[in-house]
Amino acid sequence: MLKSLIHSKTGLLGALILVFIVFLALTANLISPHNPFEQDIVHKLLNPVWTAGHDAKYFLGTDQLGRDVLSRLIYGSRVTLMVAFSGTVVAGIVGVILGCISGYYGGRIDAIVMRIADIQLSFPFILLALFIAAVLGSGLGNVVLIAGLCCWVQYARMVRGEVLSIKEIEYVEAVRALGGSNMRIIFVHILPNIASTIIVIATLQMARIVLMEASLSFLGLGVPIEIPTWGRMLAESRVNIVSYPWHAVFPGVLITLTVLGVNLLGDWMRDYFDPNLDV
Amino acid sequence: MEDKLVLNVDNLNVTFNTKRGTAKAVTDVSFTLHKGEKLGLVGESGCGKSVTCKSIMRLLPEPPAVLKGKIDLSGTSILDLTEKEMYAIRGNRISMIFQEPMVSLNPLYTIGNQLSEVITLHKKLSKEEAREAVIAMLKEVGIPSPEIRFKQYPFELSGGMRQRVMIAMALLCQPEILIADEPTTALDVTIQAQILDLLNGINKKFGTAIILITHDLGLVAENTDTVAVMYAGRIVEKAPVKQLFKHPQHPYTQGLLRSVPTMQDTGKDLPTIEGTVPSLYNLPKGCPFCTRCTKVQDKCHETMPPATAVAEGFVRCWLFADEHGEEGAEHVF
Repeated sequence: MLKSLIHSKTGLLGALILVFIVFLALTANLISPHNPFEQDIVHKLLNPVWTAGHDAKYFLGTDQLGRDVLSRLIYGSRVTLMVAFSGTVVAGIVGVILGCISGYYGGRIDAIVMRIADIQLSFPFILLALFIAAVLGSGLGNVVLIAGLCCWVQYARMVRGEVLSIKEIEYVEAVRALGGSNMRIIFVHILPNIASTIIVIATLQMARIVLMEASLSFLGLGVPIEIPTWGRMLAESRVNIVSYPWHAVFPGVLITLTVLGVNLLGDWMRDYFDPNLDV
Repeated sequence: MEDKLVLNVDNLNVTFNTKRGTAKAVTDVSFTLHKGEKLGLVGESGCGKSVTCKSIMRLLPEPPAVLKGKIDLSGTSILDLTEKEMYAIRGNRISMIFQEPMVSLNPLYTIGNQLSEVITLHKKLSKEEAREAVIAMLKEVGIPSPEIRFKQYPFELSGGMRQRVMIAMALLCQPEILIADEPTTALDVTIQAQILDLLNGINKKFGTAIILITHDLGLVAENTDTVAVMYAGRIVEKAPVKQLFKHPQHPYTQGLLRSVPTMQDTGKDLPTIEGTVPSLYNLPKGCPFCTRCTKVQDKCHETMPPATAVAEGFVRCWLFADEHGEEGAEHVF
């Protein structure tokens, strides 16, 4: 698997980007040059060191409260990754379970779950996220919950389709004829067969959740105001964007990079797990 | 063969309620099975062979299937059990092997893993004990070097091998009944003979009653004690195998036997039974075979003939009911 990843240029690039972001998040307290919360009001609104109006102490400059942009960016990766991972997992668990039940049992349960999914899909993603955020309030846990509530549909629909085809294969009936219970059939004999599909959806969903978290933070409905996030940094830099455009560039670039990295890796995974393609 | 009664199917009726209407897949089927008996269930596609057997294992989705009647497995009334109680019956007291050995095993697990799963589902055994039981059973079904096969995945085995594994899996808990649903259709003739020899050996050794579903009359002639011929959801004739082949009574059985190719008549057109099976949604009021029967009478269209005893079996046909006039013969044999 690792060999195939190295041979795929785009997959490798995606993986490297993600490794870089994960590295930032894990070592944030070690590599940050400053405390991201500390305000140095005398040195507020500084530009990066390669432009005019900078201070050598602050490599990427400071924001309107005099906080170090580089440190805030590094700490911001923690929120992004935390929300992206746990949001993907929460959505995955909900979606996979509902998809399995829906596909396996069929009938009324299937109809109900799939109609709810259809209704949810007919709403724009961000509208739904905003609605839930407004009801639940801000908070890291709530953002994860929102991600779960918004993204389970894609899992459920894909998993249902796969379960529908796999449950017709004879070995499922054979397991049943030999005394396997429904739960056993679903979780021991069907689920492992669709693991690759689930992994691929997860990577694609993760990119969406990164954007969702950034959007919510940008709109002020994401994580609490004191935690540095890329979305909020983008929102705060908006006020001074004409005079200090650099402050909007950095968080924007990081968001783009993360989404790009996840998507590139996801594409490679999809090809890798597709038995019809020889990677 | 006058052994213990293991299965008593009494007036089994299976209907499917669908949007198109009610399909009568099985009508008034009654038969018994004794310990060590080999029953052949023959008939053309859609005549209810598989539905009958799946009813015995309660494998049909209910709804749409509706099961009525009585199925008695040595004292246990199958149709009154809950799905949960069925888990303990399936694979333990009744087992089934299927038509397609190539897709009857989960490709993701090793042979040993899947076999051990069955045994630990039904018996409290340690991993090591389960392994020993599995290897012993693999040896029993004629798999060479079972210790190596134990660790292999299904794709590493041939079709005949996999069918042997399936049989081992079905026999692990020493069931009273083994249902073989066209077990050799997907295999070539040499392997077919080996698999049937294996089934016969198991039948002798463990006294497992076997229900063999097939449309191959040759298989039935060689490998069963009793044969039930099904047509459009009913057993139209049931008799010991020799009697059925020597003196087929029902016009449908006679037609079936005529349409078996023989070595003598090569090059000639094979005799066929004209017409098609009536729709299960709309069965004729009388005998279901009346639309194709060569000896049809007026009353065939009106009323279903009763089961009439003929020698050691019974037949459902007005040709015989006239002479004997007795009913309910299917319960005697």
